[in-house]
Amino acid sequence: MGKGYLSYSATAILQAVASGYRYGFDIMDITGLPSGTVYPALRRMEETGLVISRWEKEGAAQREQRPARKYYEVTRDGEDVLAEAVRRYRLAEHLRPTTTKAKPSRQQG
Amino acid sequence: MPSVTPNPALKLKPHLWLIRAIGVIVPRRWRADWRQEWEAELRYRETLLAEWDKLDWQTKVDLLRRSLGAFWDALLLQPWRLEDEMFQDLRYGVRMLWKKPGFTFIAVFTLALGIGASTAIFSVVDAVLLRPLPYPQAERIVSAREVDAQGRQITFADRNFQDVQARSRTLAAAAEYVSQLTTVLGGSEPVRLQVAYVSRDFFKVLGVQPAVGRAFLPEETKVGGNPVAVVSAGYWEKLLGSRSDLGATPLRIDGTNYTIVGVMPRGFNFPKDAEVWLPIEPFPESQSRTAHGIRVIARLGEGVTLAKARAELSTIGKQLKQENGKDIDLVDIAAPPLQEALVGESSKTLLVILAAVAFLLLIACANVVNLLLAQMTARQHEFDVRAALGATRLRMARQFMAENLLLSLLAGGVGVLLSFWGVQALLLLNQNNLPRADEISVNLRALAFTFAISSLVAIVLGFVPLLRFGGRDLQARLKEAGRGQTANASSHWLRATLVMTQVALTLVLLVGAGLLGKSFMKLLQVDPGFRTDSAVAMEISVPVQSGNNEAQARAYFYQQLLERVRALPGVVAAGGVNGLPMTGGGADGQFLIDNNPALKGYGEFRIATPGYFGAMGIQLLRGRLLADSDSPDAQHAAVISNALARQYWPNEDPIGKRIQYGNMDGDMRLLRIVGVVSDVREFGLDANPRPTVYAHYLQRPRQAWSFTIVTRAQGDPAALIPTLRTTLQSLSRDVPAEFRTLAQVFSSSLDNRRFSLVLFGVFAVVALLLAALGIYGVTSYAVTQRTPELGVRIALGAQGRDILRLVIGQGMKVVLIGVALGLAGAFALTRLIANLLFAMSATDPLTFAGIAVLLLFVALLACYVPAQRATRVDPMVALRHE
Repeated sequence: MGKGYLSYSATAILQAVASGYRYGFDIMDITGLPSGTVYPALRRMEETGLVISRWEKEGAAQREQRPARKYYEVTRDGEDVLAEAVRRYRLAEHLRPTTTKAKPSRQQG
Repeated sequence: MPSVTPNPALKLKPHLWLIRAIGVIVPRRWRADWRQEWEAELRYRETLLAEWDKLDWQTKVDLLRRSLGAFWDALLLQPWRLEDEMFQDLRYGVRMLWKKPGFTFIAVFTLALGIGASTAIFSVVDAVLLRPLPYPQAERIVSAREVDAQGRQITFADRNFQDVQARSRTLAAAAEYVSQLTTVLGGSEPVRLQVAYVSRDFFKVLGVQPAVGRAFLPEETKVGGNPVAVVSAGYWEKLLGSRSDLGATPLRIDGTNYTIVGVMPRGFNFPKDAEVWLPIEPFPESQSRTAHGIRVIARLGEGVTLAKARAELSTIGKQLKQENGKDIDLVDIAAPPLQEALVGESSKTLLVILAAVAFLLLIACANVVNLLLAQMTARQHEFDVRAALGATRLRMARQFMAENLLLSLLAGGVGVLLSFWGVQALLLLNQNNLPRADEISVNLRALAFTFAISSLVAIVLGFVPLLRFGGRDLQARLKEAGRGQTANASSHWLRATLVMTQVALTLVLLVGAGLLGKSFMKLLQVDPGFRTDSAVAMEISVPVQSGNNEAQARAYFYQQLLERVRALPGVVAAGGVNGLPMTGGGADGQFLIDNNPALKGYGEFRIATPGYFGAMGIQLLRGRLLADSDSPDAQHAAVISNALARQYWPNEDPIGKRIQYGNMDGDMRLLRIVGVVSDVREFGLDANPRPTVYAHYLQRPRQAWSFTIVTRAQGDPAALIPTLRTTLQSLSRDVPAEFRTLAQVFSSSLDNRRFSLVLFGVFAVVALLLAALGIYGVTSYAVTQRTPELGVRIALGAQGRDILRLVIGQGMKVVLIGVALGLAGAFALTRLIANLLFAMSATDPLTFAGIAVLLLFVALLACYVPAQRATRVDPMVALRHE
């Protein structure tokens, strides 16, 4: 499977990330896919350059006394591939979440 | 990478514990990040839920469920983990092996021998014993046999089969069949093939239908039905050009035209080697319950167990016995599963050979372990330095395993190649006698077996050296390394044990080979009852117009043929018989003495020409042989074998007595005994000669549809073959023939025994070589280690003799213990091959003693060479090493 081919569930996951659902568990919630699917897919997509991952800023995490979370962002390549996949899976158009998660504020990183 | 905040209340949080646990299998370099990512998500969610007052047991379970997915995530990361450290180890391993080509070559080759031999034998055992027959639900097919009063399993009589079929309620279908070599015309050329005559439900029992066309219709499987035939894929392709119009030209068999209606799938091969199947029902049924020769197979009914069916058949058998009393031979019916029946005796032999090859593999492994130990000692310094630099025992063990895995895989690869050749050789040796020989090949299962064995070998190799080295004081070893002395008692003990084991196993194999060899020699001394030199056998089946005089026409054909053959230059004698000894052919059955139903006899029934006995070199003991004067109108004459004479007329002259053998061919006329001839071992050198009756071919031609002409020549019998062929063709172009010299016939009867002997012999010789190498290696190593000590001794005045005695003594001590263990082991184990031995005991003391001496001698030689080297140690050089 080359860079350009996305399975249906991978499309859903990538779309979730593109719509602002950047943390693993949030993606699970919005797509309804189990963690055993979401995380491996995220890792694959990171390897092929469709998403990148970052740790949230220390400050917020320390205040809440928990480890910093990792979040994912779609890359330019990822956007292209996603557009292509959405075309292919016409239904995916309809899967686009109606509520776009608000972009994280500067405080949360 | 961001730092991880401390985890306060970790306890009582199963989802977090789970992440901890699963994290163990994540590749080391990603472990911390991975854990943090998961923990962060879980903790964040937990906090949120607490904020929303929703942290009840349901949401806790939900958190747990989510964390379970971490396992899958970690699992999918595994390739990177192995890649990481494994590749490093493998690269290092390749370099190590490359640096020592001598060691690598010997180790790989030794292991390859063992693995290759094991795979080849396994392929045979798998195809013959383990794999189920290639029929649907093959375990539900049984082969039924009559059991006679002596407990022997014999073939069925037609009428008995009919009764069984009618009475049984537990069988879904039953079928009878016979098969014989017959000439088949109609294809691109006349050929002599195995033709099977099968009953209506034959294909139903096996569960196989023709791949092209159809099987027989019900109206074709009865008296007067249209003659139809089904052919094999091989015949269809080779002799019918795979033509689509099956019925275009009929097959002509024994004067009848058979329309081809079907072609069996490729590879279908039941009964053995059958190429044409014809319905048996149109042929006249024998009414006798004692004329055997019919084989029976049956399929168990739906839901019926084997035990239940066997019980029912046994009951039917006893019923039949009760109803028919002396008119029937059977007292019971046996129904072994078909696979068991087909495999028969060879299972014992094959399992013994499998055990022998396992020994060989062990010996090969022991050799390589010894080699590795020597290597290890040489590399001790390297390991100690690595340990000092922080490598753990586990890490070094893993690196070892990688090296040994490489060795084993290489050896496995070479072994697979060797096994292909091995299987070819095995088939060459004994193809005819190995059941299911066509299914034997080095296939995926064998390859999987090879891989498993190679891996096992790798693990064994990897652990042993490390166990030895683990846990010793590092400092002390580094100091020792500095001094150049790295041998120690436990290393020597381990190597000595390995050599002992090798010697013991080798002795067992050698004793086995020795016993088989001696047994074979004894067998060869048995008189077969006929002369095997200078004679050629020509097997023919003459197709004639079917009709009342069919049998007579055949007989006249043989007569003419023999006349022409006798006239050929270089021919000393010629004769014919319908079942050549040692080819398993020929009918047997009951006869009546003086037509008195109260006086029954049992014997082999043969049709022969007058010249047969001369051509075969069978001695006349009393009376006369069959003669040309025994014409069809004269009193029917018979010649009997000595065994028959002694059994039924122990105190009288059998000449002039009369027997009725109508059972065999329907001819009730009495046979008058005119002569007694010497016994012939019809069924092999190791079987007792059976009582035999020879009838004249012109007087009783009915059973002679297949005939063998035996020609005794002055010189090389094989030189006669082309002339014989032309002579036959001058009479008829439609009669194919197979030629073999009597020497070849005789030799093939020994194929089975030769098979075991050759295999054991090869294993034993290889094992001996390996053991010798092992002994040499250990002794040589000991000499190297003791060089300083030897130098001191020589400096103090020890002579060459003394050094020799010292070194050889040390080496032979181990060997002697090994020999003692081996003798004990052989004593216990050779009973397993007792049934392969002829006329001797499995604990024959001469063989045991002889082999022990041989092994000791070889061991002595192996010790001698390094011992000689020891005597040449220069004390100055040796002492300087201190």
